[in-house]
Amino acid sequence: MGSCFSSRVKAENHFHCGKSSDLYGPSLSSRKSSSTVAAAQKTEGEILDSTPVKSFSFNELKLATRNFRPDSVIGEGGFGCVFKGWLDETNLTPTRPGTGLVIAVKKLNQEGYQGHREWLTEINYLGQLSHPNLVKLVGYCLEDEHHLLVYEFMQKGSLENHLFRRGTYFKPLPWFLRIKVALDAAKGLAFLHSDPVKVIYRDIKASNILLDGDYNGKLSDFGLARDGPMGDLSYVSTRVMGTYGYAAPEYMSSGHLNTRSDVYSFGVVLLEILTGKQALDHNRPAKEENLVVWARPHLTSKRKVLQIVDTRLDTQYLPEEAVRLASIAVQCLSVEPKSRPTMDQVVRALQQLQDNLGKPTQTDPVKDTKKLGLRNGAKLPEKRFKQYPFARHRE
Amino acid sequence: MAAVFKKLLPLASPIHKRDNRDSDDGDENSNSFQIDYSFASEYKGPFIANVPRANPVEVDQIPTALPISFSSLPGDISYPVVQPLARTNRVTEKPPESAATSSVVLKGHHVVSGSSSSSSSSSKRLDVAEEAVDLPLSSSPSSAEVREDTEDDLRASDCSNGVEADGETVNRVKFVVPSEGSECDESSYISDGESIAATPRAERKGKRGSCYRCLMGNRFTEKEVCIVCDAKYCFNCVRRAMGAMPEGRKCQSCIGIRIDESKRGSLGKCSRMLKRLLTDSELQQVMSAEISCKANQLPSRLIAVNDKPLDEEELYMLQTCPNPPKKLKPGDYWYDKVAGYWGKVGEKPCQIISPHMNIGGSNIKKNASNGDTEIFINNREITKAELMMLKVAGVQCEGKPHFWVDADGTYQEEGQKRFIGNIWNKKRARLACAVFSLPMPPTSSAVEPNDEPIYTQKMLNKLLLIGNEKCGATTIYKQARSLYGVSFSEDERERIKFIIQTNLYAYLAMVLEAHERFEVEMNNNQSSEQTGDTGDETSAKTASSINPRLKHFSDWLLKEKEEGNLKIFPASSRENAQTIADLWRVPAIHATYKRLRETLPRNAVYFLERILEISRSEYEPSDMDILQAEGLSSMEGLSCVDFSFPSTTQEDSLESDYQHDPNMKYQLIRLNPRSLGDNWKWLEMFEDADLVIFCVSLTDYGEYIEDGDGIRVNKMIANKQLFESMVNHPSLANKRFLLVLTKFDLLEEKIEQVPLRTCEWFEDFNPLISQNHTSRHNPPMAQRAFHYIGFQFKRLYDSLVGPFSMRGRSFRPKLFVSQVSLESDAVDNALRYAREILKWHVEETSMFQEMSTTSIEASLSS
Ligand SMILES: Nc1ncnc2c1ncn2[C@@H]1O[C@H](COP(=O)(O)OP(=O)(O)OP(=O)(O)O)[C@@H](O)[C@H]1O
Ligand SMILES: [Mg+2]
Ligand SMILES: [Zn+2]
Ligand SMILES: [Zn+2]
Repeated sequence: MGSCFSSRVKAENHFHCGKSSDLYGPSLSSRKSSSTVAAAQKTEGEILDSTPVKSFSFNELKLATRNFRPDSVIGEGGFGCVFKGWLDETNLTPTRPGTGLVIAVKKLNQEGYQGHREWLTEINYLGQLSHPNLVKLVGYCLEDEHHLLVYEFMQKGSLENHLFRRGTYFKPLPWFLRIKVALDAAKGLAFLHSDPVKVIYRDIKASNILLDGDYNGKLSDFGLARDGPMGDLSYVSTRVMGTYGYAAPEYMSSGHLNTRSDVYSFGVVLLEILTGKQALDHNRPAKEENLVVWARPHLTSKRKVLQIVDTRLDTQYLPEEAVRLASIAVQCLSVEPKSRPTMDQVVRALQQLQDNLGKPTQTDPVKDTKKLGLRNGAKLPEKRFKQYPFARHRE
Repeated sequence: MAAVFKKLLPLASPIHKRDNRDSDDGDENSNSFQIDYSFASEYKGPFIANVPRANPVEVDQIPTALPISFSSLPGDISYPVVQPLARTNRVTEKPPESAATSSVVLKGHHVVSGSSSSSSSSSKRLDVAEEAVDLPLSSSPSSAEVREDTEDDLRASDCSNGVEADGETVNRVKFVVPSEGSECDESSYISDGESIAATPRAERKGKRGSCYRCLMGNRFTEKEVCIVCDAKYCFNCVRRAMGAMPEGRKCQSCIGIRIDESKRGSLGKCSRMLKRLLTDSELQQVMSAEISCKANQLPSRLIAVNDKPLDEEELYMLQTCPNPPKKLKPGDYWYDKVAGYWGKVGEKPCQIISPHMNIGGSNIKKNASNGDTEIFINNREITKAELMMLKVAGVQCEGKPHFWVDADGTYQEEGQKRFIGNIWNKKRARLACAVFSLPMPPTSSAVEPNDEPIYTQKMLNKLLLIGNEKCGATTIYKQARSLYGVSFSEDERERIKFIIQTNLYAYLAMVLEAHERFEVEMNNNQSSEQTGDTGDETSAKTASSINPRLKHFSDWLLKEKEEGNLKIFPASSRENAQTIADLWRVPAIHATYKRLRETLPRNAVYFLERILEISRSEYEPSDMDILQAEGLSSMEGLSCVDFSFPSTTQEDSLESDYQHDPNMKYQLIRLNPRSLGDNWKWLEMFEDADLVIFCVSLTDYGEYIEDGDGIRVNKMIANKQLFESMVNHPSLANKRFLLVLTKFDLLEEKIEQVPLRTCEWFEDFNPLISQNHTSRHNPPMAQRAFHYIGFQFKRLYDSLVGPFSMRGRSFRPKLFVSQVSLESDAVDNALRYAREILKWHVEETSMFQEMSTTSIEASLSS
């Protein structure tokens, strides 16, 4: 990766791969031609922005965030606090609140940064990546001990907070948006994995999937979580270990990372989307603390899958859709990295799922269920999903 | 008697709310007093065999709604059956049946599902049969919606059995479907929302005000009203029309039918007439049946929350939650389940109810409250008022943020985890809610006293204007605005204009009413004289010459006023202006006005003089108009204005250490006691007020109101009671009080007619009339009365605060008294006096000798 920092990278479409999909039932894969998917991808995938990442002075960011006012703090993460601020759209200078470009300024904790130059190179590279499903990195600030990153502001915050907002009566993201956000995130990740971008995300989790005003999902903080082999930019290595619950088993044991470990983490996110439960929650009974550990036995049959679907979704989904999502997740979660699908494959599977949302299978008489008064899809007889061969690849 | 009459009048007529400044005589309240005596006087005539009596009820004679049994229906008797909420679309328009003396025509409009089929009574029996045949079918599980309707059908059919039991000629009932938008149907509850299913409405056969059954009497005749169809029956007819009232006050033909929702508030509250008619135990039974019987309960499906009609369980949950919506009426509501905001669809929130109830539709619509601010709370675009309130509460709203707000008021940006703050932490937020007529959370526990000071230095003095309705406080408020140049915004002027025009219609109705009365008298005179030509030629002619359009308009106006829901629609004002102009030019009507002018309230004359101008849609209220306008206090729960005193030349010459800081700002807050909640609990929002200005109308001593229990109370006594509770209120414990006695100019007139001792509190008013006839020794009676009243309040105040105790106060309590009249000078003086008091308060008697509280002269300003 280090070799191509300064070169411009073009998005290419990686969906012409002839490899038969692990994810598609034979009847489904023929329904949507892969070429349409590929065409859609191509238009989205302009990789590099011509505008370089801007270097801000600390003072500018101070002005933009009204002196890092406490009530402009929007979030807090492992790195530090995130502030909301405003910049003039054209010349990116601080401006009056409410006008111009809204930004999120991430003020990184001040300890533990070495190798400023490497950090900068990395930022500059990542900042030029441009994709509809990546949060735009507007700039950074490196002044004395201050490390700040400036992102475009994502109006609807993070997927994590939409899924897990406390309070049982809060209506969480509706089903169709969950699928959309999952697909968006998958596209962003597929782009990062693609040749020649080749960025390992390293820290896929629901809090790093942000939503813009139209609920478009975008990945943020990509590529920043670095670990040992790539050098000494290890300011987050311990924190990555901390995001237990998302991390792939081989990474946990060996510390070795590749794109397939991102796929695993993505599978965890899919499980979160499906169940409405957090990857790791110490408030749950010991056996259920770890979502994957708890859910895995449920991913073995359609009936059991339907038992773990987020109850707050009540009737929004068709059972086969939930089962479909579970089947994608379970493959991403394969213990053996080689058995996991690529992100391209995941994108296509999710695309398929989204395209067919709300369309009950034609071959079944179940389309009459509503008239029979059985409105709660989850209670439908199992024969409804007969024609869906469940994930054939299990670990 | 007055009470009885008022009970019969529908509540909340705009005209009743108005400032009562001129009510000494001639205004419509006193009209109602006169009228009272015209009916229901004790019968002293010869014995009449036929007087309807409240006989002890014999159970088996009570007509009750029995389950219908079709086999028992005799073949050819035509049963008057209320055609219920039918789901069929049959429209069998048959010509109305001619004769039938006591036929009541019911109009059914806006029916829940399907339409009401109209058919004459002769075809009714057939319909019943059809419905009956439908029953078993429709209860099949496949058609849940239909089933509900047929329940109504069944109940409606039931009552046909009861009708004949009376052995009387039965009312022939039929429904007509009124044409949409016909003027007379613009009753208040239709405007509540089109989706509300309506109950049938009776149409009067007789002239306006007559009994629906015997067609006798006029609108001053005491009547009891059917809570379903609004039919009104006189004393003689109630019993026959309503039978044993198993569901309360309903025509027999209306038994089983849902009540008219606009009458829900009056459930269990019957007229005095009925109280006379029934024995106590009967009455109790009827009224409790009226409140609790199933047919009269609010039908859950008429309440839709987030686009989904409620089922019974949900409605129950809603009504029994810790903070249920107040006065729940049928309609479409939105409900923010997270924060508990509750409102009508398309409107700003009206209440914060218990959150987290799983009722209605699951998701709130973005545009549920029709906001246009691009700022969202829990996925709902908020309204301007809410935005202003958020700004006052210090919530950063730049950049059109989307918020998540929790029930406790904590808020955060959507999709974030970190709370930014709590809306209710700042007391200002509550104040702002009051200003913008927004709801506040039900518990005050959410308020933490960590309010940051608005001004670092005390540069704002808050003056609370408190007083009963019509005490003149709103006038002071309005005068202050014009005095200190705080003009009304365009929006406010628009609303004021609307209120003024509505008032104008009410004034006009007063004239039309009188005109009608004169007309009747005239006719009576003529008929008794039996000579056609000796009567007043002009008015006799105009009575008939007034063209149908004007007649229609005038009838509508009178009817609306009679029913207490006079409402005009801005859209129609252009048309109406022409009609009003034409009406006003009718010589007889104008003549009536001239005759009446002396007795009309001052404000009425003020506006009627310029009726042609004011009724026009282009009309823009002047400052004087605003000052004269009544009912503006109802515009908002609270009005608030910031001002500072322009310095006078006289002041400039004062020594510098006595000068007032010209930058000192004053905030005049008009509080309406009604908007302060039970026990005035919202007063705590005003704990930081500096001075309480308590307003009392000097003319109140001769006026009466009805208190919550229907007991007649002298208004001065009511003032006294309010004053006591204000002085004793913990939130006002440390406040200075300034008593402002208003309407001094009116007192001058009134005192000549009504002695001050009319009021029991002023019994010992005994002014000494000096033999020396110079004005110096004999100040005007009004002046003496004013002093005396002030004295009484001071004495009361002293007894309340305890003569020597400071009770934690930082000053010696003392009531200040001032007077005002309609002249703006007086108001200016009173407010400047308030400023003095505040300054004294700060300096606390070092400069001025504390005057003995018993020598009132010394502290009076004038
Ligand atoms: N560009 C942005 N627009 C809007 N909100 C943001 C943005 N970036 C971050 N946030 C908010 O700030 C929170 C904290 O972000 P941050 O990235 O610091 O921590 P995290 O995502 O929880 O964990 P990590 O440190 O692994 O990224 C996020 O959860 C998100 O809600
Ligand atoms: Mg992050
Ligand atoms: Zn009668
Ligand atoms: Zn009736």
